[in-house]
Amino acid sequence: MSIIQPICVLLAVLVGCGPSYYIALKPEHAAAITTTRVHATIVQEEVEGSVVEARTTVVRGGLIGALVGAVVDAAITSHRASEAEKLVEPIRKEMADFDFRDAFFSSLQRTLPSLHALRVANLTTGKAPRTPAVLAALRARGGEDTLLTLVTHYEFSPDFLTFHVLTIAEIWRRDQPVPRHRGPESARGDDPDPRYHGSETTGGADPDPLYRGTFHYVSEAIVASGDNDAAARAWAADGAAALHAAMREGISETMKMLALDLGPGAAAPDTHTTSAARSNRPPPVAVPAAAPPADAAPMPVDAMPAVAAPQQAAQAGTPPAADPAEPPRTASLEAPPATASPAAPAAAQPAGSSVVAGRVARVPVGTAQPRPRRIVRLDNGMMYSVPIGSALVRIGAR
Amino acid sequence: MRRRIGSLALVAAAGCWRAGPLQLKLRYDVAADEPAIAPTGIGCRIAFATVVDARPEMNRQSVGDRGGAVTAEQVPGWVCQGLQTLVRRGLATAACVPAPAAPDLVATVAIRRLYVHTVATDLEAVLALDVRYTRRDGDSRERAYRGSAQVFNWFNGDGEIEGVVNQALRDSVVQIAGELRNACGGTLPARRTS
Repeated sequence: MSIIQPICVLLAVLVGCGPSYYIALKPEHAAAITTTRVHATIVQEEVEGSVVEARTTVVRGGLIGALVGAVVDAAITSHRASEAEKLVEPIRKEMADFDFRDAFFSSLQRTLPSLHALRVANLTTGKAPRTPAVLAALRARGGEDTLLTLVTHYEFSPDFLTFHVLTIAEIWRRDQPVPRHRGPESARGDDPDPRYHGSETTGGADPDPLYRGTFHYVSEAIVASGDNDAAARAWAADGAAALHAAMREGISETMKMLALDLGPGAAAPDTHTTSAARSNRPPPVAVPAAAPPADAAPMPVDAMPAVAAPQQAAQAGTPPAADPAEPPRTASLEAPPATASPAAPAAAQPAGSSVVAGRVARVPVGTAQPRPRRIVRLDNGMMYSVPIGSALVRIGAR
Repeated sequence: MRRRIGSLALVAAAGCWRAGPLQLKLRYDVAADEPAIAPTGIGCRIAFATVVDARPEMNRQSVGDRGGAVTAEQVPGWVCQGLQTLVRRGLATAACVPAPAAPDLVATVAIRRLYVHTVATDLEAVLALDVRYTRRDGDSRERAYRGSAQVFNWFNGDGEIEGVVNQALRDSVVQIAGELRNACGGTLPARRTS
């Protein structure tokens, strides 16, 4: 199966295809930010296998037909879920020592000082789904004038070839109108509007947030070919070493993408080529908009902000900000104030159409020299971190 | 649209779809597990001395969500109820109570993970336990057991969620039962993930 198909399906399931993936932070909005509460959410406990819900039955006959169709679809979806769980369970057993949530939050905490657009940032974390009610409560409390919400989901593609980390970041001002509730469907994560579906976004809001960024890490394919079973076995092999590496890389790349939007020089080039997180190369490099040839080696350029900057001294005595759904863990971080220039995000930055025309040359993760990666924002505004040469990027060039 | 109507009609017809916060009433039905665990002699006296909750604080706050937090209190006590199955079947002399006689093997249990979530149309629960077996001669081995269960999610009901969580505990206990003989003999591998 081509890598494109599962990714398309995954994206459709996770985010939907209709909404705006990217809303640039306008300079006037950025200038008005003095303090920001950052609230990061990861709902899931462990890695999941993506399940594509069945919508295959064509049944006519009014209500009865619809009932029969729904039942058949539910049965098919349940079967797929069972199959996915069978495949992912051996992998989870090997990942017992790795807490993705902890690793992500720790990395975010270290990254916050480099997100200059946020000025002073206080981090709270949670696992409760980001419903509109939760978002409204978050915006209502705390002394900060701005709220940045991060919602992260991670899973395998439906064919288990690749591992994905998807993060949606949104900035809200406290004086924006309180988001209207979208009803019980939305609260259950069943909102028909994909922006609010599955609790994967910060929930319904009117108007739009000041900023929205959607970051998608895609790992190297674990095997060159084979069925789902073979791919799942490969992920579990050797104590799931490949998945450990992919998770760390996914977190690292997500932080890089976040820094591209909210760090210094946020009006970043359209295309970035970075070294793989597993390699010992020093970081990220930026390549001017004209994309280099596919599979080109990364070029050391200093234009891209350091992403995993050392954590600034934690501010003692910062009161923990309460999550409406759970007591959060709190860290207070301060961005470097003096020398760092305020973020100057691109106003109405056009979504770059940086297309990497590449071939699908799959190299098993962790078994070969990792290929360089590329960070690119597609036409639809979503930012990807993909191995150079991946055909995935072509999806967004449609 | 038609399919959505159908789904809603199904739910409406049933009138049982549940959402909102849930405080799990964890109570393990010991008798339900007995057929799965054979009452065979294992050659030594085993006592499950303690069950501790080793989950991170965030994971203790809730074990899932169904439009509201799913919470569970007294999780160690509930795990003890599951381990008492082993006592009833003659595989252990005590679980979470003082042993009637000096045991040959003392087991301590740490709860690493407990959660329930929906996977498409299914409910899944996972319970991960670490068990440390210490023999009189000082030999000590730690083993990891991961019980899980997955069922079709009919109504997202309280009983369904409690049921699948209990099935995950049952799965863990059955796995532990299968290793006790080797634990007595000191032939367990140093670390195992079930």
